[in-house]
Amino acid sequence: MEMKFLVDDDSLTMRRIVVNALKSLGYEQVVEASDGKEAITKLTTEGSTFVITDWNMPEMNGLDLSRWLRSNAQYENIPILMITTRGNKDDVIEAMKARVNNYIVKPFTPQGLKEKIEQILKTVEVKA
Amino acid sequence: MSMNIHNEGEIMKDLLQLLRDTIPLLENVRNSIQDSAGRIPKASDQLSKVSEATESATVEILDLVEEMTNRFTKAEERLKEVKASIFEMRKNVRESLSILLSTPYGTLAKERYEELIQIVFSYYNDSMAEQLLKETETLFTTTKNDYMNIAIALQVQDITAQQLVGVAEIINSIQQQLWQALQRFDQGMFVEEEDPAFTPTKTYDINAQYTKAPERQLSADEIVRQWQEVEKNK
Repeated sequence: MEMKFLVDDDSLTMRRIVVNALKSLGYEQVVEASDGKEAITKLTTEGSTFVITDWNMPEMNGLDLSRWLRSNAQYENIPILMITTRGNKDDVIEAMKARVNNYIVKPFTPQGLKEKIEQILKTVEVKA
Repeated sequence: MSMNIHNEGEIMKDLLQLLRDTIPLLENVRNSIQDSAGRIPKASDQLSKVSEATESATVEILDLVEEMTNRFTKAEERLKEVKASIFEMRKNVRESLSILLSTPYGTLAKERYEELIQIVFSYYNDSMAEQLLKETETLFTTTKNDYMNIAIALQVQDITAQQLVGVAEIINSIQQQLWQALQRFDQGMFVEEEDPAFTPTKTYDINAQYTKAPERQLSADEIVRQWQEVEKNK
């Protein structure tokens, strides 16, 4: 099944960069959202098999989005990769407690993104 | 007793003089605070404009990078087609010459066969074509990677924008506190009050850093690895 990514970040610049990086890695199907609430709407209306989310966002941040997804039977196993400027140990632990699958500290590289996606896919069963 | 009254009178006189001297000073302080609060430019607005302008410029650059990358992708595809057609043509030339050998002109053709091959393939020399195609393919790949690196470097816009928002919020807070100080001043309340709570209006990370040093990511990777190890063993 072809992967469909949901890229969630309130920065238009970052969304463009992540989408371009995904396309350079061969992932063409991408949906965008600018905060957690919009991400949930897009998941419902357009579907996705992999979520890449920022942390700091208005309305609903990435952490709350992850918690929401994990508490929802339909999305509890969806892969979640957090890409954020927050690099403190406590931040990473908090994200892992919210059950994100992996964590990237900005600025990221396409190679780093590729590695994290592959690591996650190895361990997670992807559901539509 | 008259001495006491006289002293008290002097004291009152001094107090009144003190008040007369102090009130203008207090007025100056008040005016100074008002002036400062008003003079701090709409810093948060200015910084927001800077963030918006840099985001707009960054998106323009990303548009160009994407456009150039797409052009190179098309060029790569075209190159593949040219490569395939060159090899096809060489194959056809060999086959045509072989057929020519079996005709009545075959003897002449046979004598000139090698010469003909040399003439034709001098334009489509195997090793030259291979080399040229390889170099061109490498050039396209390298250039596309460079474009991607430009796009990746533009993450600096997002990171610095968050830092700017953080600074803008602090400046906002200072302005609010100055105005509140003015209000207390006007109300005559010289009471130590707690600073108002600092409430950011936008999401940001003032500790955001633009650094290519791998330590932050390596540190995060280690935490993730340990966490996953613990979860696996549960």
